[in-house]
Amino acid sequence: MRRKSKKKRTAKSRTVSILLTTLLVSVAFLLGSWAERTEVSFEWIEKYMDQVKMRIRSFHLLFIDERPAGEVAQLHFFDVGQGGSVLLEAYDGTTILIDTGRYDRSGSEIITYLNEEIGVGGEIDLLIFTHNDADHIGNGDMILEYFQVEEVWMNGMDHTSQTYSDVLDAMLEAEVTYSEPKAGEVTDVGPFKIQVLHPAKEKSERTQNDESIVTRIQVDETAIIHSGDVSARVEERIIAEHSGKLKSDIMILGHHGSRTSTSEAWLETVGPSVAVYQSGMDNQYGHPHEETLNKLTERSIAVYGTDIHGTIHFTLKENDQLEINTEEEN
Amino acid sequence: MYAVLEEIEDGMACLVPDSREKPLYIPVTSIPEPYEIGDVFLVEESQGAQEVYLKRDSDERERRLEANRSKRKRLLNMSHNKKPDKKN
Repeated sequence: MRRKSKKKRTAKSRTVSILLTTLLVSVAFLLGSWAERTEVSFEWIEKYMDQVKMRIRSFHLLFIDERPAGEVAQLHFFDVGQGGSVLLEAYDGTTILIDTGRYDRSGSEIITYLNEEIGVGGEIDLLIFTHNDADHIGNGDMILEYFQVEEVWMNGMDHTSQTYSDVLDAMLEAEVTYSEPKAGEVTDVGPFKIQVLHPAKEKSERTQNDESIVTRIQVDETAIIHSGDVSARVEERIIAEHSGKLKSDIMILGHHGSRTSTSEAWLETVGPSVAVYQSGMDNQYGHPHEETLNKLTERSIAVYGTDIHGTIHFTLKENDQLEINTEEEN
Repeated sequence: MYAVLEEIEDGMACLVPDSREKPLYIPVTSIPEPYEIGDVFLVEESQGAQEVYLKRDSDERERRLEANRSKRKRLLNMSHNKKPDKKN
């Protein structure tokens, strides 16, 4: 895979997003004021607002669509501090969101990121919560309320946190299609082909981290592997059961670059040319661990991290080309 | 305030409060034994949050697990007739 690195994106899409969000709020305010003076039902206003949202979304996409010819997909690794959230966006507008970041970050942060990429109140075809820890499902309830989420995947291991309970409530309210995928399943979402590698059908792990949904996602000629927070022990199990099907160009490092994940065997089997981790500056656990980064350096694997680079944008192009834009300089 | 034991790494326990406040990071040796991930604790802070007292609430843990299991089952039932094609 040939890489071309750039820094900063233009501020155009951010400006358009802010303007259109302001427009949406203004329309809602005016409708509310008008409804107070008339006998219009709440249901009618809700329906009308949905139409307005759709129109604004189309308008937004028209403005921010600067996609050059030959582009296959974009990956956006959002800077959500010590948590995870990645958006995959195909050339035809199909979107997959993997995790929604930390529970203790402001909800407007992830919503603004998504507004910029998919439009105000836009559509998310598939939302995968790799596991139910609060640094991966944070503000998931707000996203389910604000965006049109078609389908949600979870690992099926119940958590006891309020954050998890809130997300379940929001899913029920949104009436999303819900699945708990198991290893061996293959699903097409637009041009994305998703292989589920974990959790296993017949046996559950003991912790949320080790029960993470692990996926290999192929779009055109590029494959991306995302292992949630599984440990090296689970990586070995996946290698044993899916040997020969794991080669990927882009690896999202397990558990924020912790030494407990990303074994030598995992790197050897997957063989990525680029790796990304998502972690917060000066986090409590010291992620990413130096041992993990050294393994990547020894194999000449380029590595990007949200603690250093801020939000990271990959543009996948035809002919196996990859363009990388980062919010921050090294 | 309730908080849930979510993770233990390198001897440090992470407790996630019900509110959207920052997590509590405390040495795992400060957690009353026996403990397991997912335990729900009543947290009391004193002396300007210099000291933290944890009291396990096993009934609350079971109540939450049951409530969430029930919600998840409802979601699965609702989705039963509209699942996407899956190729094995």
